[in-house]
Amino acid sequence: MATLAERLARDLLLDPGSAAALASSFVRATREDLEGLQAAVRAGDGGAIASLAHHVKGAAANLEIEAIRSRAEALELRASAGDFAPLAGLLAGMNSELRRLEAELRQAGPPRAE
Amino acid sequence: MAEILIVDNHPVVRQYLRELLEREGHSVHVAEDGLAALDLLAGIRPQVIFVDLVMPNIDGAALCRILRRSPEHREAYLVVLSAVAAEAPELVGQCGANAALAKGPFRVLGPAALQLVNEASARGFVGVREGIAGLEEVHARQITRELLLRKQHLETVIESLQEGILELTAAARVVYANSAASGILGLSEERILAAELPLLFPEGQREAVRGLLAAGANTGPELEVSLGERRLALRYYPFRETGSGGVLLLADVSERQRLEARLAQAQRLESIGTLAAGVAHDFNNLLTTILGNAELMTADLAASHPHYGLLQEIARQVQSAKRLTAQLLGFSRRGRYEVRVLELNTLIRETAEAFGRTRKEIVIRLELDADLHAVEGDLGQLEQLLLNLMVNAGDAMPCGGELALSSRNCGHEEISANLFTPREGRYVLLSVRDTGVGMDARTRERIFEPFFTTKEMGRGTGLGLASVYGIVKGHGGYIEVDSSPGQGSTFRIFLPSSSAPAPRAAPPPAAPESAHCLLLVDDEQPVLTVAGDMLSRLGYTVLRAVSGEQALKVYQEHRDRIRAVVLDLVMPGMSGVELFARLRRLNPEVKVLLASGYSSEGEADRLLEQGAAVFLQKPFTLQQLSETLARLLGASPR
Repeated sequence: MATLAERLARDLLLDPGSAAALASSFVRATREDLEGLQAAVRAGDGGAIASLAHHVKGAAANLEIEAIRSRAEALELRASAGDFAPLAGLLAGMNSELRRLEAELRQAGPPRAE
Repeated sequence: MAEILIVDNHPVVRQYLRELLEREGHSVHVAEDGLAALDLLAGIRPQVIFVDLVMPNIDGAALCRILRRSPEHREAYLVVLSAVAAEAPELVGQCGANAALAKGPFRVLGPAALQLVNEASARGFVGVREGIAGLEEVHARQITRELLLRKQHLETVIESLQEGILELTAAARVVYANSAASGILGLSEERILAAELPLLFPEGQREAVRGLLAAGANTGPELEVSLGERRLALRYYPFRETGSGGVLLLADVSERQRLEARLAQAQRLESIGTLAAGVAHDFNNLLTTILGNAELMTADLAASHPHYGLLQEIARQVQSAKRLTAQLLGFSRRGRYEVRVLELNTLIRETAEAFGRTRKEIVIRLELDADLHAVEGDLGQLEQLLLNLMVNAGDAMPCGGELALSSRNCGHEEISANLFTPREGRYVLLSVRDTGVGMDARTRERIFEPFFTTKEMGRGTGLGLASVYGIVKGHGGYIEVDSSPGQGSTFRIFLPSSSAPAPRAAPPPAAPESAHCLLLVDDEQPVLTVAGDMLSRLGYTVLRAVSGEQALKVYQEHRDRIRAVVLDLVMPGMSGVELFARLRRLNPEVKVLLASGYSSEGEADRLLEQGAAVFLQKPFTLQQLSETLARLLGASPR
C-alpha cells in the first residue's frame, strides 16, 4: 500500500522530496491543531473546537486523507451543535490516524521544510 | 513570468501552490493571513494574488476590499480561494475579485490554478473570469450552508451594533472592525485594518490606550479618550488564551455625557430650590411678625411722634426683604401662583415702558404678534420674569444698545431637543434679545443657579435669572438661551397657550356687613399674635388656634359665629391642607383665607380649585390683609 507521500507524488505530479515535505507539513500542522483541539475540548470551548476542526478538515480534504477529514468534519458539526459527548472518541480516532502517518514519515526519513 | 502572492492560513495550501507555481517559473510569496499579507505588500507589487476567503487576522473579503482601494495594488489580478464555493458562490462574487478557485482536492485545484494564471497572463492580467474554477469535485453540503447562514447572521448583528467593535492581535494591531467602529473613529476600513490601535488616536492619548491594553483584565477596564470634540469610551476584553489579543469595544459617549451633565445641573437647581424655599418660608414668617407689629405700632402713633418715621422705615425695609424672598420663591417654584388667563402683549408693553424710563440709552424694539394666544399665568410672576430679563439685558449693555422683545405663537416642535421631551401642544414664544456683552459657555451653564452672578459686589443678588427659571418652570414652560461673548444674548421663553377666553373684570365688592368673627390658625405663636392683632385692628373678632386639631375644636364650638378661617398652610401635625378638607366636611360653604410663606407646589392650587378660598402670601401688610378678606367675604376693605 502506498504511503501518503507516494500517493501525493503520484496524484499531484510532485517529485518525491516535495511530496514528502507536503505530507510532513500536513502532519505537523495537524498535530498542532490536534493539541489545540484537546485543550478546547477540556475547556468546553465549542467555538474553538469547530474552528480548529474546520482547519484540519480543509487540509485533509485537499490531500484526500478521508480518515482524518471525516472525523474533523464530525468534530466540527458536533461542536457547532453543542454535542460534546462524542468528541473525545473522534479525537482519539484522529490521533490514532495521525500517529500512523507520523510513523510512516519517520520511516521515510527527514522531510524538506516549507 | 508573474510575481504571485498566496495568502492562506493553512501551511499545506501555501506550500503546495508555491511548489506548483514556482515549478512553472513564477516568483511566489506566501502570507499566512490578511495582516501578514498587508505587511508583505508594503514591499512588493505582485501581479496575481490568491486570497483565502476564511482566515483569521483580516479575512479574505476585507483584504480584497483593501486591495481594491489601494493605489499600489488595485490593479492586481485577485483570485479568491474558497472552501465554500459550492455552498455560497455569491460570497465569491461579492469580493470584487477577477477569478475564483474552489478549494477542493489538490489534484483538481492545482491544474485549475495553473490554468487560471496562464489565462490571466495571456489577457495581461485584466478582466473578470466568470464561474468558479476547480469546482468539478466539490459538492455542496447542507450543514456548511447552515453554518454559513449562522455566520452571516452573526455578522449582520455585529454590523447593526452602534458600538464599535475592533479585534486586536497580541501586538495591538487591528484585524477586524465593524462599520460602527469606522464611523466612531472617523476612519475608513483600510486605514483601520492592520494599524496599531494606539496610532489611531491623537498622540496625547496613545499612552493611555497602551495602558488599557496592558491592563488586560477580563473585567474590561474602561478608558475615556478625546477625539476632536468627542469623548470616546474604550473597553478592552482580552481573549482567554494568554497573549492572543482581544476585543476592544468603542462607544461615543459625548451625547450621553452632555445629557448627564444637564441632568446633574437640573438636579442641582432642584435641590438648591428646595433649600431656598425653606429659607424663604421661615424668613417670611419672621417678616410677617416684624411688619405686622410695625404697622400696628404705626397705627397707634401720631405722625409727629419721633418713632413714627422709624417704624415706617422698618416697614419699608421689610418690603425690600419681601422682594428678596419672593425672588427665592420664584426660583424654587414655591411662590403662590394666582393663575388667570392673560394677554401677554399688554404685559410686555407695560413692563417695557416702565423699564425704558429707567434706561433711556437703550433702544427698545417690540415685535409683538397681534394674534398672540392667551396664556394662563400669574400676572405678578410674569411681570417679575419680564423685568428680571430686561434688567439683566440692561446690565449687559452698560453703554446702551438695543433690546428686542418679541412674541409669537408656535408649536412644541420649536423647543430645541432637551433632556426631556417637550410636552406637545401650542405655545407662546417670548423672546428677549439684547446686543450686550454676551456670555461664555461656562457662564451660560450657571446663569440659572441662585446667587450666581457676574456682576460686581453689591450690584446683583444672583437671584434674577434664577427666579426667571423657576417662574418659567412653574408655568409649565421652557427656557432657552443663546449667547456668546460679544454677540449679545437671546432668552426664549415658551409658555403653554391657553384656549380659555380672557376673563372679564371682577364685580366691585359689596358693601361691608356687620363685624365678622374670624378663626385664625397658625402654629407660629408670634405670627398668631401679630396677625390676630392686625385682624382686630381691622375690626374683626378673632378666635385663635395654634394647631389644626385645636382649630377644628374651636370651629365646631363656634361654627355659627365664624364667617371665615385664616389658615396657615404649612403646620406640623394636621396640616393646613388636611384641616381645610375637614372644615369642608363640617361646612361645605366655609370660607378660607390661605396664608403661607410658600405653598407646596400644586397644593394651594388644588385647594383654591375647590372654591371658597383665597390666598395671601406672607408677609402681608394690614391693607393686603384687609383687601384679601374683603374679596373672600364679598365686602369692601376695612
